[in-house]
Amino acid sequence: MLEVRNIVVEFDAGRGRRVHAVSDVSFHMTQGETLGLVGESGCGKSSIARAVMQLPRPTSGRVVFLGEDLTRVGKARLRRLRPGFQMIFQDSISALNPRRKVGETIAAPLRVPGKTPHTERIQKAREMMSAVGLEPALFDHRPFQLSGGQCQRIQIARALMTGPKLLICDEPVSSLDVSVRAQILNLLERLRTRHALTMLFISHDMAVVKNVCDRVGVMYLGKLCEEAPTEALFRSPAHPYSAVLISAVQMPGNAMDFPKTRAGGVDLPTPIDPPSGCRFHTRCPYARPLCSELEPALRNIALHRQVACHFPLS
Amino acid sequence: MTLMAADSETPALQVKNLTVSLHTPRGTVRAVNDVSFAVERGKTLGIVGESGCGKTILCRTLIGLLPDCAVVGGESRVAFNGKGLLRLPDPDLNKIRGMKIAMVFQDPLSSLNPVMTIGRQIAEALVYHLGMKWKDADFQAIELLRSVGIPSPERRARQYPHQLSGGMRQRVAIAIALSCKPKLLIADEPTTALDVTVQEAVLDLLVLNQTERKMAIILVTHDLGIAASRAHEIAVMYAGRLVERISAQQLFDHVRMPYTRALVDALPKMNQPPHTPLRSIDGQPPDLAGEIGGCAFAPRCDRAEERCLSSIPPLQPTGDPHHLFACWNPIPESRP
Repeated sequence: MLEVRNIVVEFDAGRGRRVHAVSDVSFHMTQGETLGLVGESGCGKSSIARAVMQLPRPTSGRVVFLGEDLTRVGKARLRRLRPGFQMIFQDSISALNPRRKVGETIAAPLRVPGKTPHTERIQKAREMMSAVGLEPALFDHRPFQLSGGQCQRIQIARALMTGPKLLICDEPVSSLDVSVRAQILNLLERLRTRHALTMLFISHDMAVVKNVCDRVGVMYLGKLCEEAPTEALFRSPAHPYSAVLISAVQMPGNAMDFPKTRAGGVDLPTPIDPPSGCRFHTRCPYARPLCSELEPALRNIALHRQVACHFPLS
Repeated sequence: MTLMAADSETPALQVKNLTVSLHTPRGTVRAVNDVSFAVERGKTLGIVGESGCGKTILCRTLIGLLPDCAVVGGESRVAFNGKGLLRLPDPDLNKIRGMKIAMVFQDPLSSLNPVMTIGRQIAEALVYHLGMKWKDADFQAIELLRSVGIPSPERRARQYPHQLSGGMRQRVAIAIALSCKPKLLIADEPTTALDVTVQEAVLDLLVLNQTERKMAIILVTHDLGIAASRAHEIAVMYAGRLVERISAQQLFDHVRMPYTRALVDALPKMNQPPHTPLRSIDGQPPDLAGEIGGCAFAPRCDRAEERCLSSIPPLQPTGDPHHLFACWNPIPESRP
C-alpha cells in the first residue's frame, strides 16, 4: 500500500547548517492497518507525515503509494493522485480557511478533480457533515464560531471527501479535552472501518497510540529506533527509549512487565548536531562505551519486530 | 471574617462558598460557583476539569490576579494560614503572593520576562521579598537553578528565556516560584506544554520540593492521569462547580458522580487492546452565561432524573467523610 524507503528530510538552519529532521527512515504499511509514530517534539514525526504528503517533497528517498513513486511523478500526475491520500492537521483552527464557510471548506476538495458539479458537491458535503457528526445548521458557519472538536470534525470531513485510501493524522486529538478526544477517536475508528482506511497516526500520547494503532514506530531525533506490533511494544519494549516513553505515562495502576525506565538529561540534543553513535546514548540509562562509537542499525529481533539498539532490553 | 490561629493543624488554604462572576459583553458568566475546599499542609489537591470549567479563574482568584471584569461574590471566603485573602489591599497581598503563595503558569514563555536574564528574574524575587542584596541574590539564583536540575547554571543564569527549551523554562518558572520557600504553590497546567519525559521530570521536581518543605500544592490539570498519580486528593470541576471530591487512590474505581465516571471512562487505558471503543460524553458543556436551575451535567447525563433538572445537588459526603459528591442519583457504591 505505502512504502517509505530511506527518506531524508533536511531543512536549512541558516549559516550553512542543515537540520536533519528525518534521517534515513523506512517503513511500509499494508492495506487497512494503522501505523502509529511516536516520539517527543522535534523527533521528526510531523516531517515524515509531510514528506509522505509531498508537502514538501523529501530531500531524498522514495515514497511509493499504490505502486507509484510520489517523489518522482510530475506535478499534474501528483495532483491526480492526491485524492487517494489525505491529511488531518494538529491545529484544526489554523488548518481551516477562516473566511470560508464550513460547507465550502468541506466541498472544496471535490473541485480539484474538476468533474463534480456544484450542486452535487454541496449535496456530498452535507452527507459528509452528518457522517462526521456535524449539525446541518453549521453549514454556513465559519471556523471561529466553532469549538475545537467541531473544527477537527470539519478537517476529517474534508479529508474524506475525495474517498482517500490513506489518511495521515498528525496529532489529531492533542489539543482537545478528554471527552471530546474520546468522541474524535471513536469517530476516526468508525470511519476507518467503514471506508477501509489505512492510517498513519502521529501522536506523542502513548495511551492514545495504544488505543488506535496496530503497529507502532518509535522515533528519536529523526531516526526510527523501534518498530513493533502495539501490544508487543507496550508489553516488552526492546529499545530503552521506548521503555522511557511508556514509563512516562502518568497513570496509576499502569502495570508494566518491565522496570520503570527514565531518561537522563533535561533536553533532547539538537538535530543540527546529533550525538555520535546511537543518538539516544546521551540520555540512555543503559548506555555502554560502544553506543557512543557505533551507530546501531535497525535489525529484526523477532517476527515483525525491529530495533536499533546494540543492547536491546529483553 | 474569623481569624483562626495559624497553628500546624490549620489547613494551608481554606476556600468557602467562592463565587466569581465575569461581566462579559454576552452577559454575566458564573465562572466559579459556590466552591468550597481546603488544602492541607504538605498535601496536593488536584483540580481537574475540561476547558472552560473555571479551573484557571479559581486559581487566579486565590492569588489576586483576576481580570477587571471579574467580581467575587459577597459570601466568598478565602483564608490562607487562617488569614483572609480576598479583601486584602494590594500592598499587603504583595507581601504574600510570590512569597508565601507562589504560582506556576502553563506557558513559561509568557510568564517570564523576555528582556531580563533568567538569573536576574530569580534574584528579583529574592531582593523584593527577602530583602537580599543583589550580589547575594544573584549567587542564590544560581543555586536555585542547580536545585531544579538545570545543567551549567552559571552560564544559564546569564541567558534569556528565548535561549532555553520549554522544559528548562518551566524549571526556571518553578525555581522562581520556590525561591522564597512558599507554603502554597499553585500550579496551573504546569506540564501541558511539555513532552512526556520532561513532564515526568517536572512533576517529580514539584513532589520532591513538597516533601522537603511541607508545602501545599494545588495542581490544576485537565489530565486525570497526572492528577491521580501526583495528587493526594482530587476535586473535579464542571461548569464552575465542584462536583466530586475524592482521594486519588479511589478515583478510578469508586467515583459516584456520573461526570467523573464519564471522564475516567473517556481516557484511553494502557491495559486495553487497540481499537477498544472509548466512552464519550455527548453534547456540550452548558453556557455559563445563563442561570442553571439544576445539576449542570444533567442534560448530558444518562442517570438524570426529573429532580436533577430542577434543583442543584449539594456537594456532600455519604458514609466516607472524605468523599464528597454532588449528585441526586449517584452511581451505586462498588463493593470491594
